[in-house]
Formats: sequence, C-alpha cells, structure tokens
Amino acid sequence: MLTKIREKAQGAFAWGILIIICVPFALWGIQNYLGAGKEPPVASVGDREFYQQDVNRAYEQYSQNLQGMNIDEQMLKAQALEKLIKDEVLLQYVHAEGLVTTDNKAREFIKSLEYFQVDGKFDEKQYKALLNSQRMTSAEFVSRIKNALMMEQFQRSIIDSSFATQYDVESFFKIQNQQRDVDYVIVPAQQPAEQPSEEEVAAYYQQHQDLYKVPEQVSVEYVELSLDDIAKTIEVTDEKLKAFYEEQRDQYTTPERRKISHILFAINDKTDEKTALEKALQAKKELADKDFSTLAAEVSDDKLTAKTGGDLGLFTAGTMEKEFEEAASSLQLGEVSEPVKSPYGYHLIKVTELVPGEVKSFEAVKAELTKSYQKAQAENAFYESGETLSEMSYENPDNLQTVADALGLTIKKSTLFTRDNGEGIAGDPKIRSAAFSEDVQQGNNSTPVELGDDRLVVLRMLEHKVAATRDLSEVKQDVIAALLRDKAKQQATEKAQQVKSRLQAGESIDAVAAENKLEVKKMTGITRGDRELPWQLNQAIFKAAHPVGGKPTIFTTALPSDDQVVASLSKVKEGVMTEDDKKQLELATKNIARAFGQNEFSALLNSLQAEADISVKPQIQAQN
Amino acid sequence: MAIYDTEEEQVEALKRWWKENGTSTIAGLVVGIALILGWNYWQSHKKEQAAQASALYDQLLTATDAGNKESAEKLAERTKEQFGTTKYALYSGLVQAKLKVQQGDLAVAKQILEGLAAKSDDELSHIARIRLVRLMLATGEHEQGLEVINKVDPASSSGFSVTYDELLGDLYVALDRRAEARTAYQNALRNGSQSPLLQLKIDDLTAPEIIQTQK
Repeated sequence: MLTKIREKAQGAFAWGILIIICVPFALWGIQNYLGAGKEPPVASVGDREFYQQDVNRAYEQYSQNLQGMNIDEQMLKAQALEKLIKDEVLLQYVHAEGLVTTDNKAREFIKSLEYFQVDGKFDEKQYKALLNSQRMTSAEFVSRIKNALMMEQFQRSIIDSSFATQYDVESFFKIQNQQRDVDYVIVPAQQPAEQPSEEEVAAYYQQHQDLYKVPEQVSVEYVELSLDDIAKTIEVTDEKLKAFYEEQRDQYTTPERRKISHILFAINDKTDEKTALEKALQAKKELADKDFSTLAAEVSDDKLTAKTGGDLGLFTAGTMEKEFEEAASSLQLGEVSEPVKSPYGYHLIKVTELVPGEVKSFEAVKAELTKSYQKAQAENAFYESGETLSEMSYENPDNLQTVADALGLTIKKSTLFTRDNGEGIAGDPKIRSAAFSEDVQQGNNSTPVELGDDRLVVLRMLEHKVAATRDLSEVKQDVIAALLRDKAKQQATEKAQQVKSRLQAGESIDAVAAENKLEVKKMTGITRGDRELPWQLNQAIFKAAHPVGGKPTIFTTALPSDDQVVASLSKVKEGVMTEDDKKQLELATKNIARAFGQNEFSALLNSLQAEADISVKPQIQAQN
Repeated sequence: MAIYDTEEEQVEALKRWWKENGTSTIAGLVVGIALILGWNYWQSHKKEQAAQASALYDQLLTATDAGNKESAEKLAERTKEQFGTTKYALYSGLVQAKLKVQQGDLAVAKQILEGLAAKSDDELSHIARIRLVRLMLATGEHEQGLEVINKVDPASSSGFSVTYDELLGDLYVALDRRAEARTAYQNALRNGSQSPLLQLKIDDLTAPEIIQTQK
C-alpha cells in the first residue's frame, strides 16, 4: 500500500514536471494570432481562447507519451483539451494571486535543461537554434518558462506544506495492517454426470448468442517496397565499386600523424637575413652533439615554443608557409632539416613523432563497400519507386497488379485478421488500421503505409468477413461444456447458501461441514497482503462486515474455478505498526502527507475550474 | 468669450489670466506628474517586492525539502514579516503550520491555520480549514471538527467536497457513528475522490447483512 501511494505520488509529480517542460513548447500564442478571425475557438477560459491547432499540438505531445498504446484519437484529443484548460485555469489563478518568477530563477532553470546543452553545458547557439526552429523569440520562451515555474511554485506550496499527524499515520496502519480470523469451507463446483438435453442446449445457445460471435475479419493482398530488397538487386561491377571507393576514400583512410618541433632564427631590425642564416647553419652543426630541444630552449627566437623544446604539436597541412610545409612533410622521423626560410626567419625543423597514414586496400573493404554502395544506390531508387507506388496505386485504385508489374513487385497475401489482432504483416497496428479504413473497406487501394524508414506497403482488401454468430452445430461442444459449468456453479452456489443459512442460524461450522463432507480451514491473523489465500477470498474477507455482538459474520464468495467459499469471520484485530514499519516511519509519514497534499491540490484545481469562466464548443464535448 | 481689439489687449488678458490661475496650473501639473511617477514607482516597487518575496519563499521551500527545520522556521517568519501583503506570506503560514506539526506543537499549528482559514481567499481558506480539521481529528476535538465542516458553505466548496466528505467520514469513525461515516465516504467516492485509502476505509465499514437486505 505504501509503495502504491508513493508510486502514485511520484507519477503525478513527474507528470506535472513533464507538462511544465512540454507546455513551453506548445506555441500557444503564435497559433492564436494565426488562427484569429479564420476559425472560431474550440474553447475559452476567461479571455484566453484555444483553437483547434492548440488542441492538435497538445494532443501530439500527449500521444507521444503514450506511444504504442492503442487509444482512440478523439478521446485523447478531448483529454488534451481538458489538460490545456486545467493548466490555463491554474495559470490565471497564480497570476491573480500575484505570484512571480524571478529572472534569475528562470535563467538558472533554462540553463539546466538538457535540450540546450552541449557536452553537459548550456550552449547559447543551441538555445537560439532550437527556439528558431519553434519560431519563438527568447522573450516569449522565457515568459512561458516563468509561467510554468510559477505554477510549479504554487503546486509545491500546497503539496509540500501538507502534513500527516501521528493520528493520521496510526489510522493508516490500523487499517493497512488489520488482521482477521476466518474459518471457511470450499463447496466444490461438481459437473453433473448426465448430459444436457437437446432442448437445453438449443435454449442456452439462443440465450447466449453473444458468446458465439466472431468479430469482423479481413485479409489483404499487398505489395511491399523495401530498401533492403532493392539494394540486393543493385548490380555491382568492380569498375563501379572502384569509383565508389575513390569517392569514399576518406572513410577508409587513417591520416598520417606527424609531430614537429622547430628552432627559429628571426629576421628583424637587429638581425639581417644573412646573419640569421649563418646562425641557423651554426646551430645545425651544434646539433651533432646537442639535443634538439635543449638547443631550442637556448637559441630559438620563438620564445613561446622554446620552453617546450620547440614543439609545434601535430602538423596539419595547409596552415604553414609553403617552403616550411614541404620541408616538414618530407622529413623522416628524427631528421633535422636544412635551414628553411619563412617570413619570420630561418627555421630548423625536426620530426619528433611519425605514425604513417594507412589506406585500407580496395580488396580489404570490398564486402563492406558493396553493401554501402548498394544501399546508397538503392536509396534513390527506393525514393523514386515510392513515388511511383504512391501515384500508380492511387490512379489505379481497383487493383495492385498494375503497380506490381510496373515496379516488379510480387503481390503477397495475408491471413485473416481482426482490428485488434493479426499475424505476419498484420501484426503491425498501422497495417490493421489501414485495412479497416473506410477507403479500403470500399474496395480501393490503401495509401502507402510506412513501416519504419525503409518499408512501404500498399494493400487492398482480399476477403471481408462481417461479424457473425457461429452456427449451433459448429459450437455445440462449447455450448454443452458451458451448460455443464453453469449447472455445476449453480449447484455449488445453492449448497453454499444452505450452509450459510445454517451457520447464520448459529450451527457450528465443524458440524455442518462434517455433514456435507467438507473440510474446514481455520485461519488466524490474515493480513491484506497474505498470499496463502486466493486473492478473491482475501478481498472478500476484508470487505466483510465486522462481527457484531460476538456473532461471527457469515459470507460467501466465488473462486475463479466456480468453487464457492462459505466463510465465518470471527475476529477483526486493529493493525499496529510492525518493526519494519517503525523503521520506515519517517518515510511513511512523508508519503501519507504527500498523498494528502496531492488530494488537496487536485481538489483546489477542481474548485478553480468550477468557478472559472470556461466554454467548450459542443462537438468537442460530445466526443468526450 | 470676450473679443479683444488689439494684440496688447490680448497679451494683457493672458497676463491677467496667468496671474489669477498660474499657480494652480503649475500646482496641477506638478501633482499630475507626481502621481504618474508615484504610480510607476509603486508598480515597480510592488513588482520588486513580489520578486524578493518569491526568491525568499523559494529558499523556504528548499529548506523545508531538505528537512532543515530551524532555517525553514526563520525564513517563514521573515517572509511573513517583510512581505505580509503578498500571498507568499500566506503560503509561508501553511509551511509554518507543517513545521509546528512536525515538532508536535499542534496547538500553535492550529492557531496558524485558524488564522489562515479566516483571512485568506476562498481556495486557500479551504486548504487551511481542511488541515485544521485534520488537527482536530488528531487532538480528539471531533465535535468541533464536525462543526467547522458544517459551517462551510457547500456552494463555495464544490471542488473541495470530496476532501471534506472524507474528513467527515474520519470524524464519524472516531465518534463510532459508522452509518454516517459510511455515507460520507461513499459521497467522497461517488464524487471522484482519488484518495488511495478511501476504498479500504469503506470496505472496513461494510454494514451487517440485515441492513444490506433492507436497502
């Protein structure tokens, strides 16, 4: 129970946060300006009007959170509108209350949003780009965030200030940990030995027609365009592959890694070109018995790199003077160049690290290359064929053969499936919903159905079976079985009633049980979470009235097997906190307080909504 | 209006008019400008006050959340003192009541909530009243609790009725008036209460069978 409350609480709060984050992206304001004058609003709260676009957008966000679940679109839209209204009511209230969000808080919040972060840090560019893509100015966005934070602040005011007293906590455990003592017998449902008569069978079948219904079913024929299939048909010649390889060479190349150091002999006001060159040549000689980096530290005029032995880091082509580059890229590892002239002066260059680049040979990557070549080529063909598929299946709505021939596709067939269930291609809900769409039901081709990025399907109806009731001859065995089950259940129920009446009259359960050859089970201290008993029985035990005046409460309940239980509840013991509960007392108090707070907050929202001036266009309500 | 013959006469008339009315015109202008400036100042002052209150109150929420009771208490007191005209003062009162309950000082908590129930707007007064009754339930003042709820105008409390009904049920259970408790709980359930414990409470009040058959 405790965890249930907790889950509930957390769920609701998380949902709240989600809304807070989603709402700012809902583009309310803009849509309204666009919508004004063109269409009447679908709903209004005070001065605020909502248009169909607002609802659609809210619905999109709403349905994204429920992806994969098959929920009716109209219902979700109605819920989305309800949510919009609820939020708006709250927003107007917190405004009227005079709540504000400080600039600082809004800023900090926006910075903490992952949307706008690059490598875990707020990124101005990312922020601007995202807002641009939503066609929103920063001011608008900030004001929306402020509103959302204001609403959250108010929500916390109510929920976080809620408390649970010692009495509340004790009451909770009194009920939650309650224990009950019960004696019970199980009256088994025994099937009668004799078979039911033909008349009985017929009558039962007539009365229970709905049990023997078959839902509406269809099967479809379809053509499928798949990127993989197209890719397999792309012809590959060594020639084409080689050309492709040249294009993609970069992908198969690891560039050379070359690290260089230098010593500079600058040409400036004090030193003319000749002197610089002489110094450079002199230095080169000294290198015979001196380390390059030591010398760099001593004599290099490039003071920045001198400290690190003249290190210039990784050498990248295109950043230095031409002469310098030529010298740098032709040196062997460890070799020192002759003096090289640049506008700065004369350089001695040394390669300190050299990992040669590698190009994977054509043969080595051929298999990989073939695949990506085929895929790249197929993408165009897939796109073009997709267009053709779309056009031709639309222009020839009464058959698939034309388009299949044109694209060289084979027509495949599905087995029968219902709206809710299917196998093979009909396992996909998109396919099922297309198959049951109005267009297809009228005998036309469907519009292309996208399955993922790389499959397109067009289908048409093959066979249509309307919902029907199966014939008695077909289901006779089922009917007989059901009849027997019914009889058994009825018998058990009647017997259970007799036992119950006798127990209520004050007879002892042991005596009555013995007479009926039933076994009495005596349980003491049953708790709500008890797993020893079937849960239906546990439920019934805790729903039974307290015994009054020392007389046990007698009640019956059915088990899923149709067996009937007659039980006698003799004692209800108030729950107390277990040692485990005591250890978690603080958490329990917190959770109960939170549940109270959630309740109060939702009551407050309801109250605001009842008082607010809300109008909703009738047809939306009707769909609700 | 008189018609003047010469320019001198006109100038003369203007001078006269100015002599008679100049002071009051200037005074009027000065007062007008002062009013506009004052109004602007007042608005921005109010905005600034609200922003400060909001920031202080956020600190209070954070302190409460972290279980830092001492500083929470001080922050609540400060919010009430410095920003008594904002709603943040009222919210701080709610938080203060919670802090008192956590310290076991139900009497002071009750006082605070009584004050809030009396002076705040409709919604907040309902919240305060609901919490007040919960305290009365805890201190055994059951009849007083019933009285508080009975005084609530049902027309103004439609949204809160489920919460009041559940509380009513709790009070009746404490008074061992089980039938009334059952009715109150069922009202709450029927009106869409989301309280997780409510169903258990109802189940625990199942009427003995004789009464059931009479229904």
